[in-house]
Amino acid sequence: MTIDLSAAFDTFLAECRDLLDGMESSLAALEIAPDDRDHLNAVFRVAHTIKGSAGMFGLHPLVAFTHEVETVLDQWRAGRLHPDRDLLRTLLTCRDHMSDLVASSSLGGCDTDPVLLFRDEQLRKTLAERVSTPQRGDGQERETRRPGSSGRVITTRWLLRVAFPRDFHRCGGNPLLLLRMVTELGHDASVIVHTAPIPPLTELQPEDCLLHVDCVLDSDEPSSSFASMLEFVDDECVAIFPPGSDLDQCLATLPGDMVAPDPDHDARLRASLAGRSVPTHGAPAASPDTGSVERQAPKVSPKRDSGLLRVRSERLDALINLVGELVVAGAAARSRAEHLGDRSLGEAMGVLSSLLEEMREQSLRLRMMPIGEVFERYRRTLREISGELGKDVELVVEGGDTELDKGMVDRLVEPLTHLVRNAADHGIEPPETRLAAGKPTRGRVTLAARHEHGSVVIEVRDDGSGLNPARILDKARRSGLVDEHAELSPEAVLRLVFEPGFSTAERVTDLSGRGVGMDVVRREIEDLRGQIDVESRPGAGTCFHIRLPLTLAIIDGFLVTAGGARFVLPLDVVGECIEAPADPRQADHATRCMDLRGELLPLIRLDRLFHLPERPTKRRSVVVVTVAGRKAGVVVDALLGEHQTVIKPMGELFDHVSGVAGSTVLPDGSLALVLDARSLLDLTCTQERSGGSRPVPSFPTGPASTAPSTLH
Amino acid sequence: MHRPPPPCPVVRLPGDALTLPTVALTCSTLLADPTFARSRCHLDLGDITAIDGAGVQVLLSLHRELAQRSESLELTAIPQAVNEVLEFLGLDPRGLSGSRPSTREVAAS
Repeated sequence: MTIDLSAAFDTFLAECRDLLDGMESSLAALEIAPDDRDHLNAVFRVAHTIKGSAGMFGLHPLVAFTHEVETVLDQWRAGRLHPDRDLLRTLLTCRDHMSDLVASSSLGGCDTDPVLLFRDEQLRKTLAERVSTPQRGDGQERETRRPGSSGRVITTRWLLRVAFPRDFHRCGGNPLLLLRMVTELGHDASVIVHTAPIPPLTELQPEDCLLHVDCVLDSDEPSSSFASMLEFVDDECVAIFPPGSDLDQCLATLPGDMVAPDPDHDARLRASLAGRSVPTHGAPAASPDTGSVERQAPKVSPKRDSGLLRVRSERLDALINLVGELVVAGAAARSRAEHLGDRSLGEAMGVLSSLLEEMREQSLRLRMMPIGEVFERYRRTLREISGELGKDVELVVEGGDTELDKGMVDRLVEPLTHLVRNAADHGIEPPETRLAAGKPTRGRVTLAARHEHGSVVIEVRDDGSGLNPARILDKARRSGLVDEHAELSPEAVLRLVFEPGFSTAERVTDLSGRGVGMDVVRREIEDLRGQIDVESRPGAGTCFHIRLPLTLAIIDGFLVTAGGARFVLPLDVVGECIEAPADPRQADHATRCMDLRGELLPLIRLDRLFHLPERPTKRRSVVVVTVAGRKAGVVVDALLGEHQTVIKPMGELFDHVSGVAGSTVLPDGSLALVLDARSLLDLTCTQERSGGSRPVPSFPTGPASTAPSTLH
Repeated sequence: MHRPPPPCPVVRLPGDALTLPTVALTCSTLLADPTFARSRCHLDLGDITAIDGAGVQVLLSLHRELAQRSESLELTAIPQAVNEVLEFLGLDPRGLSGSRPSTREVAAS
């Protein structure tokens, strides 16, 4: 059998990145709760998995270093090491170093970058200081402390050498039962009995216990579990060697009165350990003792143990696209069935439609991940900034289980990093300033996420000094971003921080507010079809709101007609449908607003917005849409009902068209525009602003593309 | 003229268990058995329903005793309980040589 090693290696690299991300999150969580066994075990598993996988590819520096980290974690798990802030900081640095080692590795091995080697050595020293070296007979299990240097072979399986004491039987001990319990801590166990201590029958004292055994197995348990299981055997009669131990040292260690076994026994033990043994520098790459890479390669899927399956994202995208097409085709078939009037066919199509709906939901969930995993990364960011700036800043995470498309989550990392850094750097005041202002010395940065009207809202809040609108406006005027005499609302002033020119100027002068690179943040959010806004109160803090679409692919739509064309509104934003005012004069001139149960509702006529011929109709309908608390009425000729919509991008030519999110193919094969409710509402805001409290002026008479596309 | 080898004597273990409480009796019985004292033998384990570490030691010790005399021990009528223990310890019941391959090793080969 041959395997594609390069593909397996790519998988290994990707898994390492995921694992190390998880390790960082767990270490951040351990900072808050050092006694959290789940997170500690998670960190240990990451180290263990990376070490095992790296060994298969001969990445010896990574194996050796990770082994050291694992040893420290193991001591922590066994309660022999007390975590403190320094240890966590060291482990985070080790995690970074492992990440660099992974990044520098290739199928040929790890890069020997002098910087990496130096850091490797420094971190090893730091780790070694944290570990109390176990001594023979001191009540702790013996483990090899270091994997072998050049030319040695290290194991990736557990080895337990037990020389049961001679009086073990008489003390009520049952060696077989004990061994069975030990092997149940792992899998693929092999027990090898030392036959040398057994005398001929004529010399046997039958009630003496003369069983000396070697037990080799795979296990994710810490050595403390084995030690605990063997606690009824004297310490000096047991030697526990975790994976990564020096094979020669394993064989040379003879606990209790174990005698050196014969060469056959050693050969058998080596063979048993060799199934997963890894040669270090200088050893043959695939000697018979170490097992071939081919035999080991299938183990490069540790995710199977965590119930996860790695799938290439393009395959998922292809599946989701196909499901989207299936939904469209299903809707077309159902429409045809209804047209035919065949009841049984209609029922069958109903069942098919519900299955398609479920399939759509499930397929979309494939790409979803909780955003909290990303949020947790910033705990470390904040701690580092705190250390650098002499501030005390804590991170609060709200709604971490809110799920978002993984592609979007990945692209959110950069802008969120920017916002969090700015919050800590520019927003949170130094402790003495906070104290003087009557605030707690510890500043707080909150990352919050929630679902809202079919969108995901992410907030980055701080309880710092807030933005200073007067200084922002002053700076903007001096930079020429706004006219000297322009009157801007307080919100508009704050939004100036997103202007490119403002950012550049800010970076140079270090104004009290923030704004460093905010134009980049806004662009990245808008690239995700999202919106970013800011609110701030001087002295109380600042909050950035980011609103993102849940997914970019399929929506539940509401189909309407206007001017002979068909449009789709996202169903999530549709609140209600009412009859449009019947008064023709109102219809012609006062479409800008109507009375909705005492509330002034701005109106948008789609036919006019898109310069479509006005169709005579007995009555029109108003679809009330709500986005982020703002309402508007979309005036349409007819309501056609719900429609599952696969959004097709309009292409770059139409990027600047306001009010349109994309297009979709209807069951009869015709096209419909998918409306972007938020930008439609922005149009009404623009009109309100320009017209004050007066009825909004008519929609632009030029092409739709001339409509303003932003709030500025 | 060729003579067929004499039939191999079969030694039947006393009792139904090869465990700590019984090993002393088992050993003394075996050592007193004139058949065992003279030649190679088959050890019939047919009545054994339980075995523990002490019992395994007796089998290993018996094997060693015979090996010293260049004789061999063969276990016969091995009950499931005994076979499971020998397999767990990686012992080959044919010669108790400790060379029985584990399931993992069999699979690997």
